[in-house]
Amino acid sequence: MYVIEAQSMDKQTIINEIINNKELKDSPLLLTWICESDENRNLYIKYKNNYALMREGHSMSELEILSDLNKIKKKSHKSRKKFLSFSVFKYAAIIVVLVLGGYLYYSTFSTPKSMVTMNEVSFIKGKRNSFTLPDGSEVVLIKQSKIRYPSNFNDGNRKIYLDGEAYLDIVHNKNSPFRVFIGEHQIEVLGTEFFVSAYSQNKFIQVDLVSGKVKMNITKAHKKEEHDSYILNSNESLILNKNDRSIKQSEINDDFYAYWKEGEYIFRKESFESLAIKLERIYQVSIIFENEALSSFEFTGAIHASSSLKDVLDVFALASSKPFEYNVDDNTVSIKTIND
Amino acid sequence: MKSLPIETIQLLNNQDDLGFEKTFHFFYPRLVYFANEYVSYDIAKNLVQDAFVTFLEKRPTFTHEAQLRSYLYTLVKNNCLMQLRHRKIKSKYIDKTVAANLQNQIHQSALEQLDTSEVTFREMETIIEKTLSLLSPRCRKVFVMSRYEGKKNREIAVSLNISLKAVEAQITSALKIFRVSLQDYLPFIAFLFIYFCQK
Repeated sequence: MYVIEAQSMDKQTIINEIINNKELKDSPLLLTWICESDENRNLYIKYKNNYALMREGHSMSELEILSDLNKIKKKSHKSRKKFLSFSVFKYAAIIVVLVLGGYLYYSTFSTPKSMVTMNEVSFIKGKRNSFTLPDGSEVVLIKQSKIRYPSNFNDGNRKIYLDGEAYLDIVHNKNSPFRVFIGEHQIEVLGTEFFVSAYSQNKFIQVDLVSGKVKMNITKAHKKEEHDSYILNSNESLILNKNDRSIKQSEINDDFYAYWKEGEYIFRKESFESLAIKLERIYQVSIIFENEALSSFEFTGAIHASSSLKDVLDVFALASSKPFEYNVDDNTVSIKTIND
Repeated sequence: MKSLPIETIQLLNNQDDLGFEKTFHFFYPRLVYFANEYVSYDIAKNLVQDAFVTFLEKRPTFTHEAQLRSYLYTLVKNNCLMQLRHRKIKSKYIDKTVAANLQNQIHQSALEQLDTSEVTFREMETIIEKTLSLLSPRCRKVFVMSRYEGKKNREIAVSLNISLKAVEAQITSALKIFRVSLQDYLPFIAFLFIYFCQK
């Protein structure tokens, strides 16, 4: 313990103490002063930090700098080797993280034809789960959807096979085009954010383009090796009927994609009918209005990715000016007004 | 604050070894002396070397210098903090003096409070540029050579073809301007000049 009487210190003294490069523990006066109050302590810290950031180390010799540069080159070489031998563990770690993130099923298997290993990612539970592809592109997968991608993905082989729905935010790379295969058709990406709904069992494929540009290549019905191309621009939506290959192109008129991207969809004065279509997509259900009047009701609010369908519908029921009740049977939700 | 030529950042982004070497040459002494404010010189050197190894592995890209500065100082700051925290645990078992423990604590909170974001470095650049613009051209030249290029007064005298006395006079007049006008509200500018004065 120091038995030194409290003394006042002026800025100049503190500054000099710091600059003289004396260790703080060897300056009992300053140390005592610092410990006296938080104010003193913070003032000292401010000066100390500012001085540290201003240091330029001119007294370090050229020789010392060069010899330490060589040390680093050696160290980094060694650690690179170490890094390679640990890459197996690195993968194990990724799997664990993803499993925790959303009850995920992840497997690696070989396709005999190509001998290229494929990675498959799908989420069995959870409504909205995101992960990053090896090139840094972000994918948000909807439940029961899955994608596959080759293990040599980063070597100019940016392609994924999608069955289901996904929101994709693709890292732009001029030299390596990104392709999304949906059955026999494919989407060619030119650096962009978009949403694809393409369940193999469904009749329709829907692509919503948030920003950038994509090209949709639709294989011709009778000539499989040929295709028709459609260019989609920002805020456009394309629906393909797989059976007759008819196309419906329209504009996206709200920011529903934010739900996939940020986990929240904010809406203002939107009709129940329009919201129901979105809820159907999120929760993979079909919603039926037993009274037509209800469908035209307007709501303002937000849907969060963490909420269950029940949570959402309960809130709607509370907010509705006309009371309604709902009934969930398997994957069908029926909504009807309560007659009083 | 002396800055890194813009070409170096471009070289660095192109994964050019020369870019790394130049960056290292510029930042290594700065970072070691920075870390040495909180840990011993030998440990400081090790921690900064570790930071550069991380840098080599990650090979991040930068759009401007403040971003690179922020990246490197943040790495070193975190390494220092880990070091100090580790020492704290160890010192439970080793009988250290109260003063050394206090010093460790204060250095830790200093580092915890230290903002190494891009904004900090940008602000510092602006403040120094503004300060420099207050000097006469000759005075600025002397100051830049002494402070930024690390030249000794004698070397400056030779290269500018003026007397040693004239160099010292320029320094004194620069100091007068800054000490009076800036010391109170820009303490680190004051450091800069006091340090400069003592050289």
